[in-house]
Amino acid sequence: MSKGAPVGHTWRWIAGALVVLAGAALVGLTFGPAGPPWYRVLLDLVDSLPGISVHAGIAPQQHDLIWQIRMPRVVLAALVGGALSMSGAAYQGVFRNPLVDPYLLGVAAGAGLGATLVYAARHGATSSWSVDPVVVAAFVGGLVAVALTYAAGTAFGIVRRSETLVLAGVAVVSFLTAIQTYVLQKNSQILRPVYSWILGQLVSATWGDVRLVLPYVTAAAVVLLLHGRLLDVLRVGDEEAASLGASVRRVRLTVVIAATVATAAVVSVSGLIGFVGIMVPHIVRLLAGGSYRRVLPLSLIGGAAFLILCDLAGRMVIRPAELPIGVVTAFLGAPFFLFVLHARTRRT
Amino acid sequence: MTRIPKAAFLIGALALAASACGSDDSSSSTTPAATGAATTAAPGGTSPGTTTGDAGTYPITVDAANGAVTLDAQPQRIVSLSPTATEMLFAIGAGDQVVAVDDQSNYPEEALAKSTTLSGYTPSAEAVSGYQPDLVVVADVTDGLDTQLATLDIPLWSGPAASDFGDVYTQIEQLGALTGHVAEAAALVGQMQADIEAATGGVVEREVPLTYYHELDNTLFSVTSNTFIGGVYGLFDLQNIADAVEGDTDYPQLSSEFIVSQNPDLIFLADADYGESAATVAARPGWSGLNAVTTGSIVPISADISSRWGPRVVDYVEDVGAAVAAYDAQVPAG
Amino acid sequence: MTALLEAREVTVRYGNRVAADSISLTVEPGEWTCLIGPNGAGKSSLLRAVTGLVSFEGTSLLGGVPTMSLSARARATRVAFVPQSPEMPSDMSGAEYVLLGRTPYIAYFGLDSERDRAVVAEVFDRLDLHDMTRRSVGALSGGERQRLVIARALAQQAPLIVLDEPTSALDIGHQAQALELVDRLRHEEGLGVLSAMHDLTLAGMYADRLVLLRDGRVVAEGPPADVLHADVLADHYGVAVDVRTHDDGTITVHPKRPPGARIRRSG
Repeated sequence: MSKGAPVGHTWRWIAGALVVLAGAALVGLTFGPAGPPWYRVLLDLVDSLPGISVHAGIAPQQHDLIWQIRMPRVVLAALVGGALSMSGAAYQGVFRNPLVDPYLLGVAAGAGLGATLVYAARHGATSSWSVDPVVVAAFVGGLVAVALTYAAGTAFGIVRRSETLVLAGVAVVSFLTAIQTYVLQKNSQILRPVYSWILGQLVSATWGDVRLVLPYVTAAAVVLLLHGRLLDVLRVGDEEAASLGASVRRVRLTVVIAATVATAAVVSVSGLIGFVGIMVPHIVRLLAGGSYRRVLPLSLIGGAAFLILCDLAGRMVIRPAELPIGVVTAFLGAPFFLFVLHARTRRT
Repeated sequence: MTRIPKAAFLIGALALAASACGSDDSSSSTTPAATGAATTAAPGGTSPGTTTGDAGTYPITVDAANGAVTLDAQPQRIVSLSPTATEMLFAIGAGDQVVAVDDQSNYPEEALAKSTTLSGYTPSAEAVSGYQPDLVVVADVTDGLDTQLATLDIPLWSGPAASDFGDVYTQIEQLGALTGHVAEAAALVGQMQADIEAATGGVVEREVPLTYYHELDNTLFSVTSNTFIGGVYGLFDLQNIADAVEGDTDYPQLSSEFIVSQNPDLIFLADADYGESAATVAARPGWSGLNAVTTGSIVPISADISSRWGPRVVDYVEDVGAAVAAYDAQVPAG
Repeated sequence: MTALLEAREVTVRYGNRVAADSISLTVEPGEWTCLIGPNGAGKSSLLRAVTGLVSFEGTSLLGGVPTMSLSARARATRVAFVPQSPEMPSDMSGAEYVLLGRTPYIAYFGLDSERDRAVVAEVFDRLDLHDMTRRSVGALSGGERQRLVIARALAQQAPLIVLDEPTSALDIGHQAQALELVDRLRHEEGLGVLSAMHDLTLAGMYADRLVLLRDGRVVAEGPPADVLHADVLADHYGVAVDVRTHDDGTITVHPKRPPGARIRRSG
């Protein structure tokens, strides 16, 4: 019967995904618009392993380039890609819709508004805070937006059904976007930085950003991965899941909170990178099936690899100029959706 | 690198100090030359000599908008990510020391030869480092760029958008100090001040000042007199119709009705590069009767010139002066 | 013996509308009670109320314990619900689907255990579903899916099974198959069955007791022979029916065509 088989397969998939991630990280560290030739980079990486000493032949500044500029960027790309993909998969599990992205309940709109308000308030002056206020405002904004969605849903008594929470999300997104548009209108000189922020960027990644984001993403990942089985139960719908003994509301709330925290955290440092949260889980499902016990961990790992490679493309394709990472993912998103459409039409 | 006689440096420092004090508005930051002189203290006065020009004194520290910037030697590989700074660098004779400029730096011609696809808005520290710069100049310090360049030991100078002429002169002087063109910088500043003096000298006093409308785009975004551009018009005692708008933004969006009711005497089109002209403005419904239209006082302004705060600000001032003079010729004061 | 289900004066409201009004009924172990009545009579609402899926006024006890005082998991070990149109995720395997029935026995963060998998294997045995173990649910026929849902309900090991229109989507062959299966199980296991059906003949064939609902109220109840009367049915369904009792005791109900209707005869 299904004794050990699915579980065994799952570990094989995860191992495979980890190999892909390691490969992507290696490639991401090795290549860039400037810096030492690839073999020297590899030598330097090998040199850094404990107990091994190799002569990499690169200047200290080049070494710093790899370790202080490229590496945090790769690590941040992994965290952002993994968080967005895993959160996207989690939202898809809660709302039983494979085309849902982690911005559904308003994280993007709230974060965007928070960032816009900060840009508008400081009039170009550099801040003296230890943490960039844009980051704080975006994070808080994202969380507040989802809280608003839940509040609106509860006030109108529609939290009973997952699907109808989406409507509350639509309302909140519209409202917050309207406010943001108004603020931009009144402060048109900030249009450019806000637009840049919205497109998403990893170009300015520092170890500080990584440290900021890591605890939230890790905590959320632990919570979400533990909910794999419960999300599978939810696949038969709220009512049936309840009849099977699942605490639908608790699962939904916990999963939404965890996914939202992870998304808000990465959005606050990297802006709004789109499509990742839909594409990666979808691809994972095509390869490994729809069970969330697999989709969640594989989305986390696969999403990390995916965004590392997108970021690499973003900085290499038109070097030395940077292609905003949101543009790269959008470029990939268009053919992706066409492919999904094609696959669906073929099936029916 | 030869060290010019300390005395010559002192002369340069005094000249800079004099020009800084002589500018219209008060400088917002300390004079860099004074800082420089303090760090290379010249004991006692010595006979003044002529400045030999090129090689400045190093190490030098200037107090820029992004903090203290220190250079140990004359920079030979400057990367400029600010079109305004590019214009300043070439104007003070540091053009040969520039190896790369951003995609928006298009003036002067010599700068175009060094154009790259680097972006001034989202620069990548890694990409910039590929040019092995010993100085990077930007307008605003974008998120994290300063820490990243600091990691790579690359000095960064920031010269944000000027709020008044004092800022413009300060930035030119700072760049002069950093690049070892102190005298040229001082000369440029002096020339600019003289030219502006000349352009504004002939302003005719009016009982009722002339009004103007500065158009940023065809959706009628304008600027208030709080902005740098607004300050330029202020030199000619012109009143900005956008000042009457409520709200606290410096870039308000006006309405057609408002502009028509205000009936500006002069209209300046910063969107001339985007299809607007005297003809298109006159054709707008209800605008044909405006003073500016009937007297032909609609002035196209190059977007580059009006959005930068470099040496070509003088051209801008002169253009405004010419427009005012033309208006005066048609409609005498009094 | 404690009744598996005891409902007293259960009222279900949706906003201003009263869907079920003061309904009382019991289901004992081994008993099959079937709700019948016109559309909108409140059958589904009552089923959901006693299963704890909607809120209600009144009292409902599962094995002597008030339904609403039980946690979702405890409830699920006492009553298994088979909905009219179950949601069947197409890429789940048969085994994974039936394993869902073990949800009430697995801790919140837990995973299925040996015991759970053994129960599922046993259910597959009893229902002879082995070929569905690995196949995905999406590839199964309607009849196979129905058996799978019943298998899932069995995996819950609850003494009471609630079926909402279990045969509405099945052809006559599969209808018979599904109902025979449930009947066999209730006799073998002593399960209690509460169902809602609109096919009166089938209801009469399998249920021990019928409860006729109309506009949310009980208007008749008792063994099929007592409830399936032409005048009673005509009154509540609004159509003339013909009720026949066959030699073996089976009662069949079919609508009578109005007088003057053109009747086609073959040949």
